[in-house]
Amino acid sequence: MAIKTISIKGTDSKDMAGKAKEALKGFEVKFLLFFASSCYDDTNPAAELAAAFPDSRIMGSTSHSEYCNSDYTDHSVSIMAMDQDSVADSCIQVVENIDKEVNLQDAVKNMEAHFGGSDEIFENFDKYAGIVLFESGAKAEEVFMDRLGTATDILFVGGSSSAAENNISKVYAGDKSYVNAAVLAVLKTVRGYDVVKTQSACVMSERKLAVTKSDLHNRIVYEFDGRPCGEVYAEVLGVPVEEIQNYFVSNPLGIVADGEIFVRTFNQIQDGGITLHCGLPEGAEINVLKIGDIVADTRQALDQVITYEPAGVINFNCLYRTFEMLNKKLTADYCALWGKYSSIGFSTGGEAYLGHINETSTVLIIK
Amino acid sequence: MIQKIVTEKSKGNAVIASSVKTKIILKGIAIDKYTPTSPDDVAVMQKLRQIGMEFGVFV
Repeated sequence: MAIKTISIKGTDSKDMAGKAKEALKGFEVKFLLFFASSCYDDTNPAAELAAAFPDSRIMGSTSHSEYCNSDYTDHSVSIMAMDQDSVADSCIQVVENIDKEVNLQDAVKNMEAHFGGSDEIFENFDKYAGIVLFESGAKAEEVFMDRLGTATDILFVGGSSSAAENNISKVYAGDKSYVNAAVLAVLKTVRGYDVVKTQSACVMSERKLAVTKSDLHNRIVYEFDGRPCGEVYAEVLGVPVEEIQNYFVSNPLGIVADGEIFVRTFNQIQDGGITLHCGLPEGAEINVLKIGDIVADTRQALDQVITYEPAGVINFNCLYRTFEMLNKKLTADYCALWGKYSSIGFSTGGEAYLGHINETSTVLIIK
Repeated sequence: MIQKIVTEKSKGNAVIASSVKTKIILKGIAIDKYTPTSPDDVAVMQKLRQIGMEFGVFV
């Protein structure tokens, strides 16, 4: 078996890592990805896992709640362990201070050089997959993903850290933890990979709205089509402008690009605009969306792409979607979709694929 | 301009071409509304030149 997935609960990180080592006894772990409830952070889960798996490259994130195979858990650690039969090589880079303007050229060049240069990656594009984990407190994912997408052709899939009751949000690389940082990994897969992106929403109105005034960095939108955005949003929905907040959850916004929806969810009305959980650049065109069926949409998206037996599946699933499924008692149905794969996931504070997105599940499938 | 950026950046790889298009759209260029016969929009053309430069494509 080239990929193993385990869910562990421990009294602390040392206990957790010890149990993981026992569970993976005899398996030569070369790359280890983990999503650890933030309740483990005070005993540094990365340091303990690095001590338990000294020959493995390690990356991870804090989490609000975790997925492993057909289970949804909390206060646990979900681990995906990969050996050389699935991932021939890997490279991890940490980018700190992501709330400032980042120059990713050096990080990307270092990663590409590790594998023999950008030509090698371009010629074997279907083998190189990227994973990105953001520390969500930095709120810098939009700009970072834009710069990353400019710097490299490698497709990065990932998400932003979330937190349990203690509200600690961190990402991990090697034996260290980071805030205000992103951890990037490039995996040279043996048999290739696929990506699935599925969101809880579909287009409600075909009417395109042009973003004519916005503050991308602070995630505020002010105007659509040169008019106050709330007024235009109300017009599309056919509701009084005073009532638009009642529709923020059920009718988010989306940029539709090449048939794919990149969801932006509302936060609140503020300073003459509306704050979002993901910024919108001026010039973009958006549609008003409506919430769909998470379980049915996810099943369809997975079945459409995974027509083979994958080695492992990583699910970056929006925390909002987790909450919605808990509220509607859909968690068991949702988890059943993942039980047929060796899979792990966590409830993310934002998802990444080509850009930063909300209310979405981004999925990396290692063949 | 849009087509040149996509073509030169993707070098014929369809997956990369699709991802480049999406990246341009997420940067705030609504590329679907432009055709080769669209009237010139100076601000959009300037933005595309900048995007092209970032991608290493001079348009």
